[in-house]
Amino acid sequence: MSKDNNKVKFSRFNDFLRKFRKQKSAIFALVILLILVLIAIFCYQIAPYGINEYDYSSVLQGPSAAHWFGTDEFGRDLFSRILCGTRISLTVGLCAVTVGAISGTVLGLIAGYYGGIAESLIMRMCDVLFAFPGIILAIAIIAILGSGMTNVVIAVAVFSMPTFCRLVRSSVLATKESVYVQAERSLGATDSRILFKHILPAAFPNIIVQYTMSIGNSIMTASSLSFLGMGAQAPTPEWGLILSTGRTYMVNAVHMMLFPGLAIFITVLCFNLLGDGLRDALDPKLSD
Amino acid sequence: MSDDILKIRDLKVYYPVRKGMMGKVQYVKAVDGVTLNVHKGEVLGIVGESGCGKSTLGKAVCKLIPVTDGEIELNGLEIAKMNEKDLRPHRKEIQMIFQDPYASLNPRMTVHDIIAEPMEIHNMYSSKEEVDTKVVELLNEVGLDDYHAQRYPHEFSGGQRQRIGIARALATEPDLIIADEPVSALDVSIQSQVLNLLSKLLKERNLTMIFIAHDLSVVEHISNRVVVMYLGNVVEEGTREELYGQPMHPYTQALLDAHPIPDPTVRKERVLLEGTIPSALNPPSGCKFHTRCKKCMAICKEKEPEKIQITENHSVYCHLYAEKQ
Repeated sequence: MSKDNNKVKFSRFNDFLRKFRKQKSAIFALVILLILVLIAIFCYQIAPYGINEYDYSSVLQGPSAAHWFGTDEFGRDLFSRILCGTRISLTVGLCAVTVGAISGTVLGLIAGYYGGIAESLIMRMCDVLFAFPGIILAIAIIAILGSGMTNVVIAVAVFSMPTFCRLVRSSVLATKESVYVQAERSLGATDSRILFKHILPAAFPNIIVQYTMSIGNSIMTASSLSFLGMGAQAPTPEWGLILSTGRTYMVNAVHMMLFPGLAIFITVLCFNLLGDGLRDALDPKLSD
Repeated sequence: MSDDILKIRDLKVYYPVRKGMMGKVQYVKAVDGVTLNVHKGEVLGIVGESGCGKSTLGKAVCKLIPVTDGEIELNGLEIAKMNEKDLRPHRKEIQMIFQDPYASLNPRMTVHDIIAEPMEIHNMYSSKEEVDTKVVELLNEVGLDDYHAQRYPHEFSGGQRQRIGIARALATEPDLIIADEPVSALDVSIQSQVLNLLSKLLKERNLTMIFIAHDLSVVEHISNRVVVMYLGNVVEEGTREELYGQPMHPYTQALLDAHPIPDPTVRKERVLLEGTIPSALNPPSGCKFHTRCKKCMAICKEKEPEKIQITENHSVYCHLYAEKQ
């Protein structure tokens, strides 16, 4: 039997693509994000100046043809620094949320599928984590682990984990009781087969949407931590850190706060728009 | 007497119910001591009103819900207390067709994958080509076309989906099929098509089937032998001819009387049942049917009726016939 004899080839992926194409703002966000990813990869090649190239003859200058985003208190080119900051922010966001999503998904699967004491323990732990506002939890973790980018990743991962855990668990609970999972059990399928072939795929659209939305949030939290002096340390060109130093010169050099702020704003906004678009495209109830 | 493929001895399935956090645990006695034999090659119909435990019985035999007590012997093998791991290889001997054809198929899998799933689970074929050929064979056998294999369940009608469900059940080449109200979710016109398909498959494959339904005419159409259940117990058991021709138990009589005759000019004497089925949490003492029975006697309220053999294949659980023995 070949797949070619099937003229109207329908697949969920094609259906998703068709719906996603209609999400104009999400497409726009995706394009910007792809550009950001390219910038993150090639930042050192495209940056006009080195990130630590001091030039004391031109400190705190506003935007000009030579320095598009102006210069900072040491005369470093702000445009180059923000370009290179993209790599840091995207890496932190992706790493933290990936770690959080994987651990949250695994815990959620265990809690939802096996129930019992494991479920109580995992869900109460999530409740504890949920009780703190995200940034405060992150600060608490940094306080324990010490500052530095690795610890920021860990902190952000911990605070994004419970959302995934709860999301996956609720999806598992719904799918576990469905007739097709019962049918699968009566066929003699093992638990792992049921979990990975039937229950996890059902939860997958939700995980994808939550994943995209969380990245924006994590970048924000990571930058906030750096802003508060708990994340990246000078002279790392981290957006939150640049913003934080710019605060001192807020009155006579607005550009030092404006541009890193804009960079954070655009990145987070794009991730959220993309998440919104994915949610609408993946929702089977919203046809066309 | 022909070979028995399935023997159920005093099967009990209780669901625990707790009222409030600290309340004491009570049990819903969904199936309360059912003893049944299923002969090889027959179609055993199980009828009864909603909540009588017929679906629970079917699921318990498939081991989809835990058995509280009793024995289930499948092909001479006791499975009621077997653990999941030991049972797994034997699961292919018994398959289930589910009531709701919309919910019983995974919406994310193609029809090919759904039907190939049982073959993969039991490693029935070594090569992918064999599986593909087998899937197409099964599709054709249940009246679907080759190209349907690459489609998703939501592209099919209810009747077609039920055909896919039947193909999946046949994929493991089972000895016994449990059909839990397989046509009650379908349109009447589709019902007969699916029933005819089932009859055809039963004949061709020499299958044994337990057919659970609440529709008496559907059961009459397809079954050789019929079991009537009431509140977790069997009340009457007999061949189709005997049971429909000469219902003995007052409950069976009432059920058959409630069954409409498709002729508006016929006025028949009807024994109508009053009230609703009592709660399975607190079933009545003695004969569970005594609260609604027209012929209730003093003994019915106290003593559970024994099985009374009327003819070789016809038995009833009722005190009315006790003296005749």
